[in-house]
Amino acid sequence: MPRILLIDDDALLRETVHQLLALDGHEVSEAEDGDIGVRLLREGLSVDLVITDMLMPVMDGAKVIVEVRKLHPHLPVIAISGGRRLLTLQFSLDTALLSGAAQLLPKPFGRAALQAAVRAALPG
Amino acid sequence: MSHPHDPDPAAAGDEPTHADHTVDALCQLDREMLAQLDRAVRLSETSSFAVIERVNELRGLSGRLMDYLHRAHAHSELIQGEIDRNSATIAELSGFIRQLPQQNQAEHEFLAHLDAELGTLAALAAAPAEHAATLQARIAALQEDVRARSGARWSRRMQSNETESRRLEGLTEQLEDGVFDMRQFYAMLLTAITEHTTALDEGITGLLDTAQYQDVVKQIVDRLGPAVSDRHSLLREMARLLQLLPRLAAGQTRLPVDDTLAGLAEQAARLVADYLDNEAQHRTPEADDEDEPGEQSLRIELF
Repeated sequence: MPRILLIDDDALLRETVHQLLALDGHEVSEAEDGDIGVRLLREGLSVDLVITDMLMPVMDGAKVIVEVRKLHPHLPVIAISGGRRLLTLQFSLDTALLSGAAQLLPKPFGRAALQAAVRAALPG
Repeated sequence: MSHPHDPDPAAAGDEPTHADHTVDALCQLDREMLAQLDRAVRLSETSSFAVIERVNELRGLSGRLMDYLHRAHAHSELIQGEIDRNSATIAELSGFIRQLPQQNQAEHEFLAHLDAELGTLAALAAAPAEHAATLQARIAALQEDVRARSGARWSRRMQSNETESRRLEGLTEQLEDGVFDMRQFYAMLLTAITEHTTALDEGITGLLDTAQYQDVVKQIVDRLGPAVSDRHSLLREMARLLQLLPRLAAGQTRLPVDDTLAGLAEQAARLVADYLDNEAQHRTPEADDEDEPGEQSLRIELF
């Protein structure tokens, strides 16, 4: 059963995505910001995939991706983003890709898009 | 491979002669040297392919960075527009704030006027009745002042202030959001560029590592030199001895040719052994993949 760390400052989105992932048999851990997510990994949380929002306070998604890659170079990361007034979706996703994200998922997304991204990101 | 003039005592039978041993050893040396040359060529090819592959990777990385920076530049113009708008907002806020003291001053002066008038009225109220007319006139004037202040013009002014305050409050929130976005924009830009530049740097380091294989190839070729030189000396010595064979057969010389040929065979065998030993002392870069992570080979010869 693949284990996934879900990092997003939006509690409602976390809950929704958590339920969608659980329906597919994934074991999900949550973090409400990038700093907490990276700390969980640093403290030994073992996962097969990280899903992170890009635009978050405290630690943004680009930094999360870089820190995850430093800790676990082969751990895939899916970047999700909806963009903001000035931080467009395109910029967020471009930055995620350049920072090393394996997959990009623009918000809002449905179950099928989430499943496809998870399938593509998980090794094997 | 016996020679008709070979003075080796074993020449009469099928046993190899000293000359055979010498030639065999030299043939083996040639094979070993050719094998090393083949290896050098393979290393050179592998290195060239690796360089091409790494350069292509670097070109890909560099291209991605350029595309990103190009798009980020367009995005930064959006941010620049926001900064301009924020400057205008700040100027408006500043103008509003600048006129507040003047407005406060007018209010303060009016209150002071009211206070002074009330003081006068209080004095008049305590005075004899003949001042009643004056008192009434002053009260009427005061009422007029208050009416003027609370009249339509004054209401409009207060309403305008309220509207302006609400508008500026909205602008301030927008300003805060904009500053947050700008901060995050530059933080993310910096993170992505730093990360990518690190990857480029690692790629260039890898490229330099690959380029060092040229040095391995050079060393392999360099080590052939002394072996070839020793081989030439042996061949010259053997040729000299072979020239003596007719004279030996004719009994014109009593030189210990046989011993010398035996010595040459030993030298040839030693030459092969030394060459192989010497090659074994040097690290084969192909074995790098067999190392455990972090293991430092004692025989590494890159630079």
